[in-house]
Amino acid sequence: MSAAPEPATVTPEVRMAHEIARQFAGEPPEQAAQTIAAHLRKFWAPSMITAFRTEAAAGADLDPVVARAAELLR
Amino acid sequence: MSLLKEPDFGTPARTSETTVTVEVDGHAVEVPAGTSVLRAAAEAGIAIPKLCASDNLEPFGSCRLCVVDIEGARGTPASCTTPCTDGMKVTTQTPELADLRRGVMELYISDHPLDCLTCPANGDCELQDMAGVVGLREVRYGHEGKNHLKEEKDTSNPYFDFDPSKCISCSRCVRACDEVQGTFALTIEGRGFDSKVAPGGSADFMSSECVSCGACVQACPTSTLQEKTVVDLGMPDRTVLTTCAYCGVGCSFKAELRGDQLVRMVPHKDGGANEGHSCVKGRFAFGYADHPDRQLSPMMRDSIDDEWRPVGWEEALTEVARRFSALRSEHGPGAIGGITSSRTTNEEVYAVQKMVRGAFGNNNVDTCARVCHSPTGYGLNQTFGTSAGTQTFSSVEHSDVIMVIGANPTDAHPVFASRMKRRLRAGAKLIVADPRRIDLVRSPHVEAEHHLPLQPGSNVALINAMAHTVVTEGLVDQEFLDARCEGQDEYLEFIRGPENAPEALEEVIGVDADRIRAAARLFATGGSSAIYYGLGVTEHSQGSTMVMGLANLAMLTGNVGREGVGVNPLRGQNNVQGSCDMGSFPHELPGYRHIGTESVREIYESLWGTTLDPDPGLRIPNMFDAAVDGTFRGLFVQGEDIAQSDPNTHHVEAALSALDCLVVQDLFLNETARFAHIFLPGTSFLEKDGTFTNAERRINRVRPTMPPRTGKHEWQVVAEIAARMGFAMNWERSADIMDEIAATTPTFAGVSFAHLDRVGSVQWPCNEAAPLGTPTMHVGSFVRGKGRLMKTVYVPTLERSTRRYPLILTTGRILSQYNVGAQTRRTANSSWHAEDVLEIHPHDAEDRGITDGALVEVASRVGTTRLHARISDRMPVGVVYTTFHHPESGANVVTTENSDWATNCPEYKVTAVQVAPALRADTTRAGTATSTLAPVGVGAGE
Repeated sequence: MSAAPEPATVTPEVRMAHEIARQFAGEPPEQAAQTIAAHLRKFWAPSMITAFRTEAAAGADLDPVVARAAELLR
Repeated sequence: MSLLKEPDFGTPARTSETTVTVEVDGHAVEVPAGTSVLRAAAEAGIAIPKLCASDNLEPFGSCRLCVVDIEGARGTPASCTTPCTDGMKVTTQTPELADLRRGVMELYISDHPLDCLTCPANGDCELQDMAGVVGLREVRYGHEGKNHLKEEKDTSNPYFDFDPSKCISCSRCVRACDEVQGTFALTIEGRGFDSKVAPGGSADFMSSECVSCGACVQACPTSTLQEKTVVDLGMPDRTVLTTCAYCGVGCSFKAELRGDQLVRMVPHKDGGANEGHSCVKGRFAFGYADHPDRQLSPMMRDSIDDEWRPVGWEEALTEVARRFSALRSEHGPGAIGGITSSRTTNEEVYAVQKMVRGAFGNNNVDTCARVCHSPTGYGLNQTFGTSAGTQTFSSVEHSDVIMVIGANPTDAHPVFASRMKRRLRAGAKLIVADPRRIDLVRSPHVEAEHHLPLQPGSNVALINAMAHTVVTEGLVDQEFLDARCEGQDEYLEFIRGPENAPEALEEVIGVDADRIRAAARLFATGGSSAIYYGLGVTEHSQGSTMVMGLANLAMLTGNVGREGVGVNPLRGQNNVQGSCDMGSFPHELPGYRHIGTESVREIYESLWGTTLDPDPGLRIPNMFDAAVDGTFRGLFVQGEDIAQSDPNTHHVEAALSALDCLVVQDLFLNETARFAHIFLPGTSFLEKDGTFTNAERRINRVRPTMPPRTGKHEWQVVAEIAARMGFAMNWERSADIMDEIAATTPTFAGVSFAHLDRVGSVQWPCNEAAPLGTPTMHVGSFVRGKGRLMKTVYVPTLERSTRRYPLILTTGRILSQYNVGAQTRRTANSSWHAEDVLEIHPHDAEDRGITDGALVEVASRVGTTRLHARISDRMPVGVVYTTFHHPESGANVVTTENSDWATNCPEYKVTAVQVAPALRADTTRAGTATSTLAPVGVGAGE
């Protein structure tokens, strides 16, 4: 797991998704991605999930597990 | 009600498995073994004269008024110090006893001013009462001899006077300071006739160790220690029982009034949370309620650059509804939201979340608990099944080991701290985990067995190291774990890992491995072990993980589900627990039920006649981000000062400035109101009618001493806004709101104002199965069935000290001030803390050329502020500390956007900063890019 991107250069949603992902860095990637996606579904407003997915789709510099979580939110 | 005078049974109640029966003046009384004769008589309705005895103090036997005859006993023993024995026959009234008592009173009065008619305590003086009771008619000794009548009065304390000329040296004040408060600030100086009460070795009360809790004033049987308000206003004539509006201890008070004028607040003996004790805030700092800064009428302005224009309620409420409705229509329902406050009642919080969900049409409602205890909600819900402390406060009296982590109870929860210190003086062992050497580590007659001065940000490493020790050294309560918990295999495998060993983590934690192991062993093997924690646990990037770690440790050692144990969040504000309970999180309806659960939504949809949004709304920081990017346009803020209390002030101010409509409802034009378009005046706790829920889940009544000075209750204002937006909230009175809460929330099913008026208070769950509430949770089974052990991987925060910002700033609270200081700054409490200061270790100060009291500049990567330095060796090297009670210092100008991964609770406790002597003299905050910080031996880069 790479460190989260610098706060000033990313959107809040991408930054927060990476902060969550850091907690599950020791898990198998697919399991971690599912856990992250479930957490976002439970606690994030739809507008934030949309913004996060849009960033991911636009090619934001995402950790692979975070990118996978974004995919799972479709 | 008329003035409530509580009975005083003379000595404390005793608990014992055996009872004894005594005969007092021919009446048989059965009492627990160890009960004094004085108390047994009082319980039989027989009042024995007394002066030095009080039922919140251990018997002292000094005044000799309570002497009695006991059949077969020699002399006339003091009934306060004489325990009952089975078959004892006591006589309380004989001619000889009457002579003795009159003689005692004669001596007292011979050295006491005879100014009863002009004395502030006239009518509330036990000495005066006793003179009458014993039939004193003359004082044969006169006043000409040696006396204390010309002793000088000490008026240094802003809240009470000390008049030694009226002191009878009964020691009640000294004993109250020792036994009840635990500060040991008072003493009796001198011997014999020269003995007198003195504030330690200090010249006066104000310069002494006294913490102004008021216990001595309450204990004083004369006017020696007297509230200045009583001196100024006279004796009160009526009582309203209510609840303190400060911290999460939620003390019960007798508001004593003279007409509509509040004269004093006296702690209520029957208050479940405080049992007759108080602190300087609740006891004395109520003057803000009628401070000249108080705003009593609505105000509006078109732009935040305009002057405020006072308007009537009708115009203000119509405009609020018009603006929010317009924003909803133009930008969609997600463009508006509301923030509830832990300083308001359950009923007011419930009203706001209902308005947001029903009238605004979304779940964009959040509460200030977001920035303090939201990780408690997440962590305890994951592990135990609900978001609440497990114990009642009195449970600590049964603890053998007490672990305090990330909390400073003597400052932030002083009444509970006094209770805890009492238990510690009685022999319980204490573990303190805190970077600072807080007062609890070593105070009179209390010394921590272990102080673990961990590095800020290493909480999870510490709790994992402790759990590793417990597991690998065979200290697990396997029977408890097998019977009560799940997730054992995965968790135990994780925690046994060498990466969690104290030896592997000691460098990160900053505490030697053997000290960590010793603390863990004590916690696991010391008997009943309890955890008390505060914001030093939650306000971290791993706040939620740490809460789960604490729950894990409690479960591993079998310390849940009985008295003396448990995991106990010490809530910052008075109604943090309640505001969370009431559904003011954007993903939860009242009672911690997820908004996505259809069956729960249906309860409200059916009752409210509307359809609810099934998706979570925005949290407070998400609202700020959305406001900055232009998708969030309107905000209703009740009772919170987010511009001062929330982190990264510049970001918050940018968000508030971007809003099309900000509505603030508060007592004062606070920092947030600088960005508001409409201001709605709020009510103080003296006007509110509702309930607060404290940190032990205790639901207490808040009763009004007067009608709202603004003309409307907050919930009425909210309901009228909602109605103007087309959503009816038809309540006639605040009791109706609690009835609605009870009808829709299973844990509150048995709660009503009428029930609380009958039984005093209840701790939820309160329902058919537990009509008097539930003092201890998770007895037999957890709320979620099995307790769930959770893996708690330590992940270091991204906020680290660097060459540019080599120190770590951590923030906290101080005894005399409260939260953003909106209330306490408008009282004489500022005599003790007129400004926020920066505590810094002597080594760090010397390195930077900083002297004690010097103005310094504190810079982080997001902002700069200035504070005066206080050099203190209770700070560890590399860590500095400040409070956030004053807007001028703007501690949150420097705190960052970092937050707890699960809940977005800000990481207030870890900010990398540099500190240097300030080059400019003013103490106002500097802003983002205006640092004048002189480099201190480091390059500009990191």
